[in-house]
Amino acid sequence: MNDEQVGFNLADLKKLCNSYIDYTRTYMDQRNTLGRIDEEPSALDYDFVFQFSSEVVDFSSQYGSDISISYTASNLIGRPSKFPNYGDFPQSYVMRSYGPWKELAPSRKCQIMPQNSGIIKSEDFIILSFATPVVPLVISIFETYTPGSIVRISGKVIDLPDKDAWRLLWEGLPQNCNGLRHSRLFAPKLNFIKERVKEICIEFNHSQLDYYTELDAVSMGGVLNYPENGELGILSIPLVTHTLSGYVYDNNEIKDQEILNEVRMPSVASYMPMSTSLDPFLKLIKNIEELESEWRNEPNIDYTLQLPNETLMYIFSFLDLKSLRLCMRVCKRFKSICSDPLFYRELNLKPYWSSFSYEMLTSLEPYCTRITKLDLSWCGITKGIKTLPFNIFLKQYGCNLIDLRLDNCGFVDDTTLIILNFFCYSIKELSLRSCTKINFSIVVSPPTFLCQLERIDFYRTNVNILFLESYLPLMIKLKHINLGSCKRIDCMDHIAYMLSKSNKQLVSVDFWKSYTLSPNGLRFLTVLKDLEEIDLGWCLALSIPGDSLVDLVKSCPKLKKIIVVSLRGMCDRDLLAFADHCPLLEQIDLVGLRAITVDACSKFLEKCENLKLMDVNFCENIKEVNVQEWRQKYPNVCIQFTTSDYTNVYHY
Amino acid sequence: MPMIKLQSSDGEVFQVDFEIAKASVTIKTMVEDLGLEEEDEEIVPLPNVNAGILKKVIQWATYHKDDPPPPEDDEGREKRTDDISSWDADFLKVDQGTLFELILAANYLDIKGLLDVTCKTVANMIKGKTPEEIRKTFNIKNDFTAAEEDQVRKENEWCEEK
Repeated sequence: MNDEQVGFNLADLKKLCNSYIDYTRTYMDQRNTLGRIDEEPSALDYDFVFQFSSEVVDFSSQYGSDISISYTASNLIGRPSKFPNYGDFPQSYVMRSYGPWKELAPSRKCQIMPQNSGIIKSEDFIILSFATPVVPLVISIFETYTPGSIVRISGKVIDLPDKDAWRLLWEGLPQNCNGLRHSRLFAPKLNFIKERVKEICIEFNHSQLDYYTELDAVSMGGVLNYPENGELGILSIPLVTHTLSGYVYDNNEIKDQEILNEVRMPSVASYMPMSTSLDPFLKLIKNIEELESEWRNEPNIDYTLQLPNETLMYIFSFLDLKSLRLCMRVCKRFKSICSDPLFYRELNLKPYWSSFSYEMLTSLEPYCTRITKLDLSWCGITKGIKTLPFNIFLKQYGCNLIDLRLDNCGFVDDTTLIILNFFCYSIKELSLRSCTKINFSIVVSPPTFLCQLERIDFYRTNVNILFLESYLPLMIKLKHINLGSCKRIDCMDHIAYMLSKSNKQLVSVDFWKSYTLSPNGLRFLTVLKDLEEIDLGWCLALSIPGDSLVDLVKSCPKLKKIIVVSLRGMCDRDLLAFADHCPLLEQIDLVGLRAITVDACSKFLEKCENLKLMDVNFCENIKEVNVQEWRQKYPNVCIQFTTSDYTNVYHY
Repeated sequence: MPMIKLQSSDGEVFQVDFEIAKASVTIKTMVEDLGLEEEDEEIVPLPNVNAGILKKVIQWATYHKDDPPPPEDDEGREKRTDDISSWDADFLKVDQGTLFELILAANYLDIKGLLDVTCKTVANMIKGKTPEEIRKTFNIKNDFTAAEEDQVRKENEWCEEK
């Protein structure tokens, strides 16, 4: 292990652990002898359970595909397999984005009701289940590569009857910890709750990361029951240390096994530099607080009375939904202003997924008469609404909807598609990412709803050829389609053919992990003259692309982003064709292209003047020294390349 | 550099660079409608803005004279409130009366940038507060009957959950 990289040394770490355990013991003894606890607690009451997650319940995205084991969510089950090693391991869980690149791509989506997201925005989530429900006292996330993206942890309370209640356990700003280059055991101080939790949801924001984050395992420690006498101090002590091996122990006797494996949990924020981009906001909050404290000495005049309604409306237009609804309760005038349907033309309930319920939607219903954009993504997690009530809502208010996002909404099924077909004829954007309950088995006749569609996202759905055959020809305005990880499509070449026939104006198309897309299919796409972005990552049937890639880029001069990760047969000739025919190219992912040479990359960099991102990880011909040279020569290009030098160097 | 004379409601006259005064769409339109020439001694009256506030407005417009013009369409514009510059934040460290007068002046003079930043400042003070805290901050009287208050609270019960 390289001590300098880590910032603290192993001997200190062990000493710290031992002294902490000693301290804990003394403290425990003292407590018992001083008789501060009236009754000797039964061992069972305080049983401390330490466990690793046993099941993945749901997630929003993964780098791997459902039929593979590499980089998939299921790798979070059980003990860590790589921690404390640092590096890129297929045995970990990886999501699909990092940094600003998604937002800079032609396929970016605009946010609905952006003022509603708050400062801590979530981009991804995963829900994990544990074998034994506990009152959570410590949750540890084993980050083995590019840590820093965890922004929120919530726990689902099991002791409440007929309600899925989620409690916020922790939230914080995303970080960039990349300077550290070592794995991290992330175990923030949790909000204390008294209820038992069996499932937890971890939310991520990758915006500060330099590369994909990788997670190895998640553990939860806690007590089986919240003690009757409510003594918290006694519970919080043994938790500052815990072991990698994982075992159940009680407070009175920490078993001596594997002390060496004990790691003191790093106090998270203390040595992590806060991301600078968010600092101005913190300063702003401080400013406001200062200002308010000065105001306290002023005469009690209600200046809001001087403002006309339109100006108050303008002020309220900057509020998030919760603040707007709380504002309604201030006085009659505020209530009447806040009730204006103008405020509810765009609704984004995704940030409130954890408290989403049918009641929330019905309380907003009276104001939704002019709603045009609705984001209910993740709102299916709580199971707070069933399919029928949602369909009724959609039937009632869907006629003006132009943008509807239903990512990970388990309540959306084939009947919802029927409602969409008959009542939501204005829809331009529809996102059904990870809506696994839709079978796409019903083809409604006559199909109408998709005629205005400009963007559709089928990522990780069960969409199939029959459905697409019926609807794609209607989507004559379609500009963006995501067919990534759609495992029911057994002949993507056919879909490519359909797209080439009916959807010639496509701007972006995502075939991520479409194993059945072959060079024949790709050739159909040469008619897409407006194409700016194409994702061919892991389309393994394209491994030997022949002339298909060259033909594609020759006819698509507007391409700005190309993902060809793992197309192992791609060679220098293809890369140089990209450079020759796509002068606007900004982002290119060449990961795992073994045949690409240094020479070709140099020429490529020279020609692509607009290039901002080039990922050449696992390109065997490329060496660190080449990359360093390029980085100097092209300082405006972010060149992703990881030497294996520090992979596996971090051992305890 | 052409100058223009602005008269506040309490009679004070300010001589301002026309390029700076043009930040106000109201003044710009007035000057165009009146057909004022460079050498004119004509004074533009601003009956809704007193000298103290007008001075602040001119100070703001002078600092922001090189800003790009605000985007035209309101539809897709970001409704962020965390993008207030530190100069603006310092500039707006004023008593509540002045802040609200600045909002009114920005509204009347039609200066979008100033209206945005003042309104965002007030919005930031409302965000995350309970109704009672909002009333306290702005000295607003609760005019609901107990029954009405209960009704509107019930309707928004989900806002209280964390």
